[in-house]
Amino acid sequence: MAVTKTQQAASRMLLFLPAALWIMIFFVLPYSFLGYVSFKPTSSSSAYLPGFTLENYVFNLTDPFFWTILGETLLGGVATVVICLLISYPLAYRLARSRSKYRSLLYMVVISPLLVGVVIRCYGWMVLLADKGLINDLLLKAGIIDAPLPLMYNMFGVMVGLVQVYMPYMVISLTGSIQAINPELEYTARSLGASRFTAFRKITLPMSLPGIMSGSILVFVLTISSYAIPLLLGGNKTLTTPLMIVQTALDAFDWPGGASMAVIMFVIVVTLLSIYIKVLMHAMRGLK
Amino acid sequence: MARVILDSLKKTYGSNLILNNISTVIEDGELVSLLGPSGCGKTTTLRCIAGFEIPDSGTITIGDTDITTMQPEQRDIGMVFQNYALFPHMTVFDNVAFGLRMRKVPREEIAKRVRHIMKVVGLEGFEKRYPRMLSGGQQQRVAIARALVIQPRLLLLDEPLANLDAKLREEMRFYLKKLQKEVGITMIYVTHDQSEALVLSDRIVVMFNGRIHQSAAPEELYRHPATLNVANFIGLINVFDASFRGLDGDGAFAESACGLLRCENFMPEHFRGMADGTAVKVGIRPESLTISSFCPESLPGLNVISGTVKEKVYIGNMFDYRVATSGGELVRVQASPSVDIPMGSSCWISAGAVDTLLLPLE
Repeated sequence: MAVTKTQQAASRMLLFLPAALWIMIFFVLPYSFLGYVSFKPTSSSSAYLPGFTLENYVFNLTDPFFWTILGETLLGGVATVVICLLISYPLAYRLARSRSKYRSLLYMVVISPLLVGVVIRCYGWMVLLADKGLINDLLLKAGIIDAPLPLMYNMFGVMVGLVQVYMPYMVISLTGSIQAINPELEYTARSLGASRFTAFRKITLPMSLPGIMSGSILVFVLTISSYAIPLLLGGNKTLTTPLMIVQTALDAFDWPGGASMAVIMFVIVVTLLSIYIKVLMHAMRGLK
Repeated sequence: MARVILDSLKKTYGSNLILNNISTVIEDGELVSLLGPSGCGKTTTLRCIAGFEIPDSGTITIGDTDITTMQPEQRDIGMVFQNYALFPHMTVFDNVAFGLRMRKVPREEIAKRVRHIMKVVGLEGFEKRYPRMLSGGQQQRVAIARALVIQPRLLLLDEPLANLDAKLREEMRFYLKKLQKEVGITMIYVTHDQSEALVLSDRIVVMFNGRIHQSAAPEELYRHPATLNVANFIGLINVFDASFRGLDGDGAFAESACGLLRCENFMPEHFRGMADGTAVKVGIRPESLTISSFCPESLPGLNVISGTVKEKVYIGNMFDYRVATSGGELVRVQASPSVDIPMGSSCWISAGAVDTLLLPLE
């Protein structure tokens, strides 16, 4: 029997089904519920009261503290992306251009941190960064410093953790896109009179924009939504929006308040990322 | 003046000797091909000239300048790659203008020179397109325009036609040769395709295993190959094992399984003082052989071998025979279709001593 066009289309759709179901049940439904809760009145005895209110949004949107924390969280995300990018690019470039037989081994080393859970790694950092940790201990004994350096329970400690944990995502994205660039393009640029640096700036860098884009979006999104790292390495000294949302919802038992914070953050992040993608897409219009 | 002199270039990767004493001179305005199988060192030689590799020893000079260790961007050499290497994120205009911008040429002059070179390569009106919107042949012409517009002292081409389909490749050969004469630029052309090298080049440098085996004009190379490798690589040739039997006047004798053969096509310097009985090779090209159903008259300058027709293929302008000789070799003969000898019948094949090559073992 001949297979009709509709049957073909149906069987193609079937391939989407498992993933679509998964995302539906574990992403779309909970998020819809989150949006729903954010429009409900707060209650001290149950998660929310029936009815409809904009009160949660009005409160958060007019709360300077909320905006400060959100601003700091987003700036922290940008800073993490920039640091990851600066550290990862040379490494990814070297990895992508390497013809060594140890290449895959190096690649494994780069992504091996992903084999260890975030929480465990944070405890690892604590051992190193604490006031009585390994680094301060060594520096004190060596007489380089008189008092322990504040390496943890501040923005510095959080950034160290974020960069270390999320860097592999950046390296993977960059390596892939640099690998796709024909090295002869750089050679050609050199033969046309470009210095090594100019050839990089004019050819390799713009051509690796797709990798920069995917890597930075990945790291940014993971960073600003990170919970365990700022909690463990920041202690109660640094507050980020995810921490604030959890505190509001669980500690203050204000589910609608926390939900509305999450929705506001979501909308702002999606807007910012759309602008970012649009700008980069314009810069990449010749590629593909 | 862009006379290029390669003097005793050596290059090793690990324990592999890639270039073994490469020396040759490329005259101003000459189109020279580096021809050889992959891994023979032709591309490495080109990369050394371009500055992407530095030879371990030896020197490269252009005109009066030693460029051996100069940065690629200071050499003023144009380069064209097999896969065109166009900058995909730039328009055709920006690709072609790249070298001029690097040289800080004023904007109006850039526009003028790009317009001119686009006319030379026949791609006017394509300036605003992106490379991916062009066909392979057009992309390669953009790559050539981009290399030529900076008026380099020398143009290097690394298998520039290998990615094109057969018909276009043929067209581009003639186009490149015409362009080179028009522009008058010195060109070094790397290829593994012997017919391409024969059509294009003023001179061909044939390389094997990091060594130059012969450097000669196409016709000379085809008629008088210096080594067995060269003879095998360029055109078709039948090779017989033989023992050297001494020089005699303009010729030499070699004893093969088919009898004593007289050879008058060889390089005397390879055989002077060679001991009697030394193993050598005798080569005869299929089109130099004549086939007949009767034994030709024995003449002093003619080598005659008897055999049996094993295979026969009609290919329009000739018969392509495979003949089993009395000595046991299978010999290919390309003969005019006016002589038609049936399969399985006995025959005689003959070649003049002037067409019989004597070659030393490698």
